[in-house]
Amino acid sequence: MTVAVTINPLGAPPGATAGSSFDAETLDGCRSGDASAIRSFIVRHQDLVFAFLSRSLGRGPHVEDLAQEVFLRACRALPRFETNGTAGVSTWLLTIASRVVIDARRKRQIPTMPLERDLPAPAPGTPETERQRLELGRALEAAAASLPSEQRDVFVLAEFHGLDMKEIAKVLGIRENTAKTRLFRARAQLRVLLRGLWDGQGEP
Amino acid sequence: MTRAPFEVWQAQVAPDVFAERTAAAVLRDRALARRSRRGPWVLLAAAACILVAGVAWGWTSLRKPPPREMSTSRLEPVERTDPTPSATSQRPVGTSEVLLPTPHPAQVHAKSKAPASPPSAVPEPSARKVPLPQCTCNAFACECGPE
Repeated sequence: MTVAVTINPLGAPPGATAGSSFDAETLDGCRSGDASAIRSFIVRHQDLVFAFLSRSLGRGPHVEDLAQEVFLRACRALPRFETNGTAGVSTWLLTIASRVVIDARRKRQIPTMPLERDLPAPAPGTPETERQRLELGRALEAAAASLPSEQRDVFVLAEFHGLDMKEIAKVLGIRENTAKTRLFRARAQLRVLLRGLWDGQGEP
Repeated sequence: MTRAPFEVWQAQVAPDVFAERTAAAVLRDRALARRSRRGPWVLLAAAACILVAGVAWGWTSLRKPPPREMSTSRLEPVERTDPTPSATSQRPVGTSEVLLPTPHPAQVHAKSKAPASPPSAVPEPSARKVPLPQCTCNAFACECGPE
C-alpha cells in the first residue's frame, strides 16, 4: 500500500490561528450531531492527529485507522469537554491520541513498514540542499524509531507540537519532572545517533 | 538543539476521503450508542413487568379459598339412582361405571312421581309437572309420539 506523504513539519492544523470562536461553534454543532460540523471539525484537526500518530508509531495504514479511533473517542467525549476550559482542543485531542497510541502499543498490532517504502525518493532535479533535507529526515525518523516509546512521545509533543512540560505531563498523564527527564534523555540519544549527519544542519 | 532541523521529519497526511469517512463513522457510532442506551431500560421494564405479574399471581393464589372435595368424589363410580337420557350420553369415557340399560320412559315417569318419600306422603304442590310422551313399546323398541 502506498502512503501519500507530504511535508507538514509541525502537524499544525490549517487555520489554527483563526481563533477559538470557530472551535466553539463547530463543537456545538458536533455535540448536536450536525454532520457538516463534524466533518469540518475533523478536517480542521486531522493533520494534527495524523502528525502525532505517524511520528509516534511510524507511518502506515494503521495511522488512518487509529486517527479514526481518535475522532470517534473525541466525539463520544465531546459532551464532557469544556470549550472554555483550560485545555485547548488541540491539547485535548493530543491527550486522546496519546491514549490511543498507548492502547495500540499494548495490543502490539502495529504493522511496521520499512522507511524506504514510505518516503519518496528525491526527484532527479531536486536541489542538493533539498536532497540533504530529505535524507536527514529519514535519518531522524530512523533515530527516533530507536528511542523508547515513552521518550519518543515526549520528544514529538515537545518538538513538533510545541507543548510545554506542564502540557506534556497532562497529555501523557505523567509528572512534570518525568516528562523533563524523558525529553532530556531523548535529545541526548538523538544527539549521539545523528552526530555525523547533523553537521551543517544546525546544532544537535 | 534547535527545532529547525526536526522539520525534515515528514508526517503522514490524511487522505482526501478521511474526513468524510470518519464523519460517517461518528454518526453511525452515535446511532448505535443511542440504540444501546435504550437496551438497559427495556430490560429493566421487562424485569419490572415480570415482578409485578409474579406478585399479582402470588397474591391471588394466596387469597383463593381452599378447593372443595367435590372434585375427588366425582371421579369415583357412583350408583345411579335417577338416570336420564341426557346424563347417560354425557358420561365420561373410560370410567369404571357399569353401563345401565336405558330405563323405559314410563319407569322414569313413575320414579319421578314417587321419589324417596313413602307412598302415603302427600306430593308437594309446588312439584313441577313433566309432560311425558305417549309411547308404544314392543320387545325391541319404543315409538313415542307427541303427548
